[in-house]
Amino acid sequence: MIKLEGNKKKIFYLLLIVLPIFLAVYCIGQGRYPMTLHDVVVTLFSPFTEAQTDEKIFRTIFNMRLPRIILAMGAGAGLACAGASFQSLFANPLATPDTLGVTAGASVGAIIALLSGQNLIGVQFIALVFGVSTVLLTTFVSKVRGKSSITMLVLAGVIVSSLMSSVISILKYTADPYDDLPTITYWLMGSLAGASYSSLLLGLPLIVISVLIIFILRWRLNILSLSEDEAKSSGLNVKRIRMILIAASTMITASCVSMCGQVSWVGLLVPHMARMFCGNDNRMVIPTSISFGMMFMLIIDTVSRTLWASEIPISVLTSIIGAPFFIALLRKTGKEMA
Amino acid sequence: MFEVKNGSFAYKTGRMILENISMKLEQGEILSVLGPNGIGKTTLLKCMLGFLKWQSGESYLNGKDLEEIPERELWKQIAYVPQAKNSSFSFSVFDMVLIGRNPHIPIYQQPGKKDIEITKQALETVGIYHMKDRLCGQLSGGELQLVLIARALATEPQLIILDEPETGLDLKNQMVVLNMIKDLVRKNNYSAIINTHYPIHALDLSDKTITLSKEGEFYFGKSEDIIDVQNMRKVFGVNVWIDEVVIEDKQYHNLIPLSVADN
Repeated sequence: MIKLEGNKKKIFYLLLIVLPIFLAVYCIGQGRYPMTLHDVVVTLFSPFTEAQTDEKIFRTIFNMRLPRIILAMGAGAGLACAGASFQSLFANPLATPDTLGVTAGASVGAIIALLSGQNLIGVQFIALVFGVSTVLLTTFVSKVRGKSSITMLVLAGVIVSSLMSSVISILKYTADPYDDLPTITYWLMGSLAGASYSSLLLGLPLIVISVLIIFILRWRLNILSLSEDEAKSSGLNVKRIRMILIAASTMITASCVSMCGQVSWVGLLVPHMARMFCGNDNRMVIPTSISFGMMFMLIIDTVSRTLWASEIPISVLTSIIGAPFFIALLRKTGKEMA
Repeated sequence: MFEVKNGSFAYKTGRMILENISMKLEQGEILSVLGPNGIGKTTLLKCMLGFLKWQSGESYLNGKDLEEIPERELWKQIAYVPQAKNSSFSFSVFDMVLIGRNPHIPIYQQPGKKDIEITKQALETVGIYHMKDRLCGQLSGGELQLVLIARALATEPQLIILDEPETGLDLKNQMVVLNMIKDLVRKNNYSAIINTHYPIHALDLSDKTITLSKEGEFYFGKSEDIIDVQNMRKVFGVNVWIDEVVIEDKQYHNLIPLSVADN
């Protein structure tokens, strides 16, 4: 953990805001159709400055790359924030939307909605309902005599996740192999290729609102990670705040799943990176996770669409980075978790 | 200032654990809850605090029924110090003590300058300001107990409730923690309720004592009156010798366990 005080802390916060923006501008410039940083900046501001711009560059940026960049930032910030929030809510460094089964649950909902021809609102709503039900199921399974240990919660998450995966398999098995199956399969691996302004308009506000709620309540996350009686005796309405935060975190996950499929590992990886920088105080962890999450997804998505001729699924990339990180994390903190 | 009237409680499956308990504590007094392990001391504490609901009877704070006081208001006046245990996420000592300010901070706000100032004072009062940046996970049991006491002070309460604050500590840390509690109460006119299974600590520390015995009886009164040979045999099942010794002009309570009583 790096100790930050006074001016250094201010600079750190400033970087949290500035770096993702710079990175976003840089990433817009990357891709099959080449353009310089100068082109990007001039074109981005052209609606305000009315500067002369290349028609092709303008269309590439505004119709193809910008919505995708916005989605990457929204999903990255959201998933990282939801992960950090789940970790404190369950007082468990391994709790994330993935490990609790929320992602898999929301995916089941989304697939059912997709197969029944729902529009994006329908997909999001059904994904949300399934996501919330899965969290409740996982917490229910993990409770032994009213108590839930870290190990039990993770085990319950594994069980519920695999249950949901098998439901997904059944859905895939029954899906039309020419039309629906490829869509589902590709979507499950996670991709930001489907980004459009119309889908962003529906999905992004839910993410933004939920992230804001978590941001405002971030200090209370510290209290919620203490024992039940301690949290209560600090005068916090534990039940209500916990429900609000679970709802917000699940909403983020469901929105992300309905817009870009299963993007695994971000919720675990990014908050722990943030903790390495600023310790466990959620007043710092939440903003840092949001910023790191944006940058992480920007990099992953840009690599996914530029490295090869065809796109690499997001989850493939996040897993390649995530799995070794997870192993390192377990080795480092495993003793305290048992 | 704090009162329990005819409190009774039983867990769903079991027999009545607490029956018809009444007691009263004035401002500036310390009350010990004394009894052997597993007798229901912690249950009594939880009932008093409202974590568990009395099946019959009520707790009163300054004449008001505890259940009718809004949660935030209640926890501005009462601070609870649990047994020192580490949580999954290790906070710095400062961040941990800052949590004590929660009842004073509106839900949409973060801790402000005033809260940070009061937190610093609490750390100084307990004498642990120098370790404010250390992580709670790396502290010894005694140090962590002091942190939790500082957290209670940061709340600026009237009543502090401590659950076995000396358990698991070595001799020196026991003294440090108990003296700290005594000092704080005397200087600031707090009231305190302390769970303990050491009769000698109850005698040294508290004005009043309530004991719970296996037969479901309880005794409540001034500590010197309650902690006598007869009650100790009933409560702990041990024959004891109690007297006072004077060492360098200071009077000390002395309690020697003699034998296990065969009732």
